[in-house]
Amino acid sequence: MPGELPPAGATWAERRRRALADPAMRAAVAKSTRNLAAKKEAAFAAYPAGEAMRTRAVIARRGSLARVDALLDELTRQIEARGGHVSRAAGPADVGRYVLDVARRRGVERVVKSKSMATEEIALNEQLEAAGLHVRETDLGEYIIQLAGERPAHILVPASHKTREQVRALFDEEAARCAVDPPTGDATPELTAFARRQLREDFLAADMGISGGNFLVAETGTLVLITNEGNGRMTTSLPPVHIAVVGIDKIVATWIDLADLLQQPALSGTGQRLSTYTTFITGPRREGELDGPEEFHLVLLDNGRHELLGTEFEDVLTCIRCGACLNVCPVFRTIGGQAYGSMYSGPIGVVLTPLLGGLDRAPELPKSACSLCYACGDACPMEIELPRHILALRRTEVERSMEPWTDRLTFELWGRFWANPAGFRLTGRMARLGQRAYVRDGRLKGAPGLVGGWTATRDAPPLARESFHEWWSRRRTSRAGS
Amino acid sequence: MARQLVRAFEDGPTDGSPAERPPVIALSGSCAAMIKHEMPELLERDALQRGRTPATATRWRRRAEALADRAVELSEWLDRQDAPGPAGVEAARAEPGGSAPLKVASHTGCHMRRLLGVTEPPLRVLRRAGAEPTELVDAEQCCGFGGSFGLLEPDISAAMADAKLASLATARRDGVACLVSSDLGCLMQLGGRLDRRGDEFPMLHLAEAVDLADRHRLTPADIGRAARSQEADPDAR
Amino acid sequence: MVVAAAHLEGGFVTDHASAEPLRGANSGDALVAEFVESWRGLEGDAWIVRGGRDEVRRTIGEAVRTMTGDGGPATRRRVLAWATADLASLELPGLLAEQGCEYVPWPSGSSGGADAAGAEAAAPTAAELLTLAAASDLGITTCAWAVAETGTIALYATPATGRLPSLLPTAHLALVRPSQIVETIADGLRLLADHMAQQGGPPSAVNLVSGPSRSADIEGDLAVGVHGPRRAGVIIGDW
Repeated sequence: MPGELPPAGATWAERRRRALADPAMRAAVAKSTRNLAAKKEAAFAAYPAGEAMRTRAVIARRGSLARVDALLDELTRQIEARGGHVSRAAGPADVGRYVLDVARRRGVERVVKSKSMATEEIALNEQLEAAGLHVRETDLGEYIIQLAGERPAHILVPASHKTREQVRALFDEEAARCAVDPPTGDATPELTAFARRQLREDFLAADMGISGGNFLVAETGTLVLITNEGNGRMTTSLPPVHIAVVGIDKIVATWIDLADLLQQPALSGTGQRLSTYTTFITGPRREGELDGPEEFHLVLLDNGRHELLGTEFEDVLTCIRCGACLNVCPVFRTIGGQAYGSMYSGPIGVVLTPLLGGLDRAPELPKSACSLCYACGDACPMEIELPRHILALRRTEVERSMEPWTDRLTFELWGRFWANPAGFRLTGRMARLGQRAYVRDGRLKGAPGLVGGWTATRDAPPLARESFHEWWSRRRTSRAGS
Repeated sequence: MARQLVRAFEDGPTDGSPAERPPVIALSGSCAAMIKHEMPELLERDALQRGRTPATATRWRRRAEALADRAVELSEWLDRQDAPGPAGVEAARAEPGGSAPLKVASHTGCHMRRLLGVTEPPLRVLRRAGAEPTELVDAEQCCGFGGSFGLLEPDISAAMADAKLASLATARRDGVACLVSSDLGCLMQLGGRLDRRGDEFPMLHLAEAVDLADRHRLTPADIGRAARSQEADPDAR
Repeated sequence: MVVAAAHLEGGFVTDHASAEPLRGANSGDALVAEFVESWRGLEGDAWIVRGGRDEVRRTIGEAVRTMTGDGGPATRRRVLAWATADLASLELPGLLAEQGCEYVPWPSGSSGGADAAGAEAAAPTAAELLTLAAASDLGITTCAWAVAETGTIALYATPATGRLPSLLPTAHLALVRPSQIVETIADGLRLLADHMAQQGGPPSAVNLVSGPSRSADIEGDLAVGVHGPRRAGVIIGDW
């Protein structure tokens, strides 16, 4: 069954226009991507063991996908044996229903959330808020964009498009709204101190914590959380109920698999050898423990993932959400994450958004959000064949006649004419005649149809008076004759 | 088009056995990458899609592979020949004021960099030509040409070109005499954007730079002339 | 309760034979030095104690003063500490009382919870512990093992070794014995596998902590102490 993603919000043309017209955002995105890409390179260069683990991790991830159903069954058995609850969710509504059932039973009013792409995918916050729950994002970046009412701009650093002045303005507004002291300045420690104070109150008052999950270990029914701030630990330790929403693709079989995988998101994402807090959760608190949640629930999300198993796109499910592909993508660096109209942006977003949500959900991404530079394929630590998938999606769009008929006609005629020397020469002669209307100051300034796309923003050299073949045969004839 | 290309080079001069066929030199990194990496699979898949038998499809793959084996990108081929030779360099350095190698900026296109893995040969060739090549800041970032992407997304493509031209501006402040690239698409992209912005800076294909060096003419004045001429004067050689 | 995972081949727990952990190139003093370098590189505080129990106690006092203030007196600081058998010989209640701190033991159940005054205090409830922890200046724990290559300490959640002392107080101090330090994360996970084999499964929570809480969400600038402890310290010594 295909999955369901929230709508893009605005048209591609509008998203693109907004992005290109925002120099502050573009500068911030360029700075953060350059920085993170450099950190990844430096981290692996200084740590050969990390690279050795990475190659084994690729095998472990793909091996797990090959037997995902059996592993999910074992995971479920293990968690239930320790007093936890496991539920399968086909799509967004199933997750919402399950969480609201638990919330109703426990009289939940206030929810704290730690960062989870899966919950964004299913617009869980909106579902809960519609039912009257108060939901607070506690990851600093997610908190910032929640206050701003925006979508994340980057898988790992969701508020990386915001300047500190913008963050301070948001915090000032929130302080006024809550009648508390605003930040004392816009230096990082001051802004951080404000967020820490505010969010701590949310943590202590929360009835339920909702988290995502980086990995699931079938062997012991263990949820793995990889975070840096501590809000992941707080969300999953302080409230009496913890619900984890995790994609079925996150499962690995054993702790040996996990040992190779554990450091990869940090190494490729931020250049750390291990994230600050790496947490293994197995069920709720045990008898005699005085902290930890009383109830533990795991909701396993499908939303189009199962359908990708056994297809050429299966390796996409091994993504560890590190953001390495975003950090090297020149298009991402130019337009930022929000232009993609999806919580999954950058190269992985170009592929995952249509694969999970259907090509109709995001037809522009494979052909308009990629210059096919192949940087993403090189950068992916899980060796996902992103460029190949982007090409395959483009091909599918052509097969389904999804491009404008004018483009289709142009490419077809182009192919026909250039498939033989006579046609090639004919178009050359026609173009040499036709271009006269468009040449000024020795440069081609305009062109009809598809080629007009080029001249919209760039000049081009006009066609030469003589093609190379014409010059070559002229010389040979004149030489032969002399 | 790909089928035509394969046929054209099969019909070319041959000494008999396939192993002795001359190399096919590609003058653009992305063309070389297309021939060597994409064509075999493309022609096989295309044959099947047109309803041909698997045997025919495999034959097309083999024919494309035969061409791919012979194909070599220009800078790689020049590098194998140790071209330009030492004579060119010495002569260039014998020019008045020519004791210091000429600083040039070098740009390697994405397909050459990542599909062919060819990054050093253009630099070696330029050094042998008497130049001192340096890569641009953020060298590995795409210039925005991208093939159909450049036509479909003119604004994003131009923004990417602008970013690359900003890196070039830094190199220009460092005194480079020109930008040299082995990729015609990149040169069109950057040159075309520069023109549209009303700016001027010489951009040469590697072949042009080597040609100038061979004629002891790798100097700023000659580079400027070569880059500015709308029509190369091929009969001058 | 033993929960079998019989049909998962190659599993850490099920196929586990009690093999020696792999040792990297470093051991002993070199391992300690590597751990300290990693930990400090993550903005953590570290003290190495060569003497025995008395020097460890003295260093704890110094750490308390440094981590909860500017090194001056630590009066009226609240310290939430594990009170396991392992820590008994350090006599933390007396030590912290000397510093002028308020000592709150994590209820250990078996050890009775006697405080410095000799009278048994009523054990706080879970809700009270949460409030106390959130209002504590320092949490003190030991650890299960530590990893030199990454600057990491591992904390298992059990009734006597709660999660909160390393999470909610403004600062967290961990006491580490040199013999607990291994080279790699894989080495540490083997120790965890030992534990899981003996206990029939993992603890309800295992936290691997590598320095103080951090984020780079504001303009890519490093922010320390976002939600978790602002300062994270280790004292490496034997007692």
